[in-house]
Amino acid sequence: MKRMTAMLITMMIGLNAVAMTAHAANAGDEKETDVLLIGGGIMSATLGTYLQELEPTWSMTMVERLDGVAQESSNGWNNAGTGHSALMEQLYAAESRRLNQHREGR
Amino acid sequence: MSFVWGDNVDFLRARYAALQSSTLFRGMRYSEDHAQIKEWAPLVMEGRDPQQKVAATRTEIGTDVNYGEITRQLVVSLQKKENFNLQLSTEVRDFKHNPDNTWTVTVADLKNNDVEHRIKAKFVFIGAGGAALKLLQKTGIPESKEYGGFPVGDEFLVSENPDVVNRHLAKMYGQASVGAPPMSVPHIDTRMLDGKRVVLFGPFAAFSTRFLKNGSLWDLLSATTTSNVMPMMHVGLDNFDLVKYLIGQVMQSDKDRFAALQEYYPKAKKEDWRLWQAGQRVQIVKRDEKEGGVLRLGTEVVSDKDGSVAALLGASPGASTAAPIMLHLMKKVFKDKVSTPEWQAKLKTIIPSYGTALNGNVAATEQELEYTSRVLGLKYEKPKAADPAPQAQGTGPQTENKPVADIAL
Repeated sequence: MKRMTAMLITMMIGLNAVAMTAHAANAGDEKETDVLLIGGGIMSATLGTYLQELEPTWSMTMVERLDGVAQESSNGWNNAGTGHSALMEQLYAAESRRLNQHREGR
Repeated sequence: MSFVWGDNVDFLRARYAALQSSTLFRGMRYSEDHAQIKEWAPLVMEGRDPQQKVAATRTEIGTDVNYGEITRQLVVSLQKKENFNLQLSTEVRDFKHNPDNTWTVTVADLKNNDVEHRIKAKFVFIGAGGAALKLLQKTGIPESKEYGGFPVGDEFLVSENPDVVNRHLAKMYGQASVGAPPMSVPHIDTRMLDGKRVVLFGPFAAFSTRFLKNGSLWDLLSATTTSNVMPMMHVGLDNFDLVKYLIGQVMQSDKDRFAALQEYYPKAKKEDWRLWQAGQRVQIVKRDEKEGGVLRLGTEVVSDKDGSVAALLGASPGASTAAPIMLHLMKKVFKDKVSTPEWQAKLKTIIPSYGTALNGNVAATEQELEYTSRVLGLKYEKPKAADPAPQAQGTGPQTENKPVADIAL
């Protein structure tokens, strides 16, 4: 029984490898870039903006799986639109974290 | 604004007193007076028991931020350069680390029968939100094996009724339940979205095995590996409060959610509100020698030892910390570059206060706030004297001259 399972797993891996090779053969040509930014959200956009200023000659490619940028967590409807600078969120700022622990008796 | 009632009043009072040791919070107001707080946020006070002990702090400067709009504008600006290339509907499928330390990344064109092509890059940044963990795991770098993650979804109640919207102009945060993650603090907020003013209340945690709103139901299973399954189970066992919180949230009915709203807005009417499914986040868990696994609140940059690939993991805070976090990332992966006089000079142009400690320096802080407000077209008035806060009672914590971090991570 154990042997059969092992064989089945080996076969599955083998099939997978065949499938992957087939895909790779279909792949088109290769493009070169200095910086690849994966994800079209605020993080990639911010890093890209810094780097465009700091190293204007670097080439950059941004890839995004949806059909527009800022469609997931960066979208205005998908986050609180707040700057988390401890002005109103009591758990931010080191002092208040200490206070919180005090309050909970830890 | 911060707003609390009952036993939490002592905490807010002590927090306000403690923040006086930092010059960054100058101008913050404090009150325990119903009439004063009603002036700041009428909806929150109307219909409230006049005997209830309440407290609020208020900072007048600031604004709601639409991070989606900022992203779109930054990308439009990036696209003005010929050496920047945006590829939409393009999904990353595989990573290969080359001997010359570059990466060959296979991507699929989702609009064209998933036809694959390869991109060879000297440096790769994985800033894919909830998908970042799985992509990081695909790189196979040893650092990626330290992490696991579980998804947390957010829901909000939304009102567009002008009677509600026009009478609340604040971002008001309450007190989080014990053990709840930072993204769970209840808040009732004025938002400006797509040119429309609305009021949001929440968040309520929702459970899904997806890592992105547009993700797959298999995400949780596929990101759980032999190296992170035990740490993740440890987190569940050691953070019982968090597990209890999440289960409690998921079990909530519309009635429970409305009751939560009424704690902040006593006269709220059901017909003014609808439930909105907001973002999907991945809370990260890191392997730990002693504890098995620890929950990492906040955001974390993970990179390989050569600085050829870096990923951003974590649930919250995110967008609001993009500028400092990406600066931190560059210090990690482009260490030699950051220390050159060229980069130092340019960073100083991008961030005028770069290298200046603002906390403790009133003149520099005011200059920075004034400059930023002017650029953004916001009203800025120099802060006046602090409000007197009654002394904290009993064993309440005392003020210490402990420096407060410049950024919340």
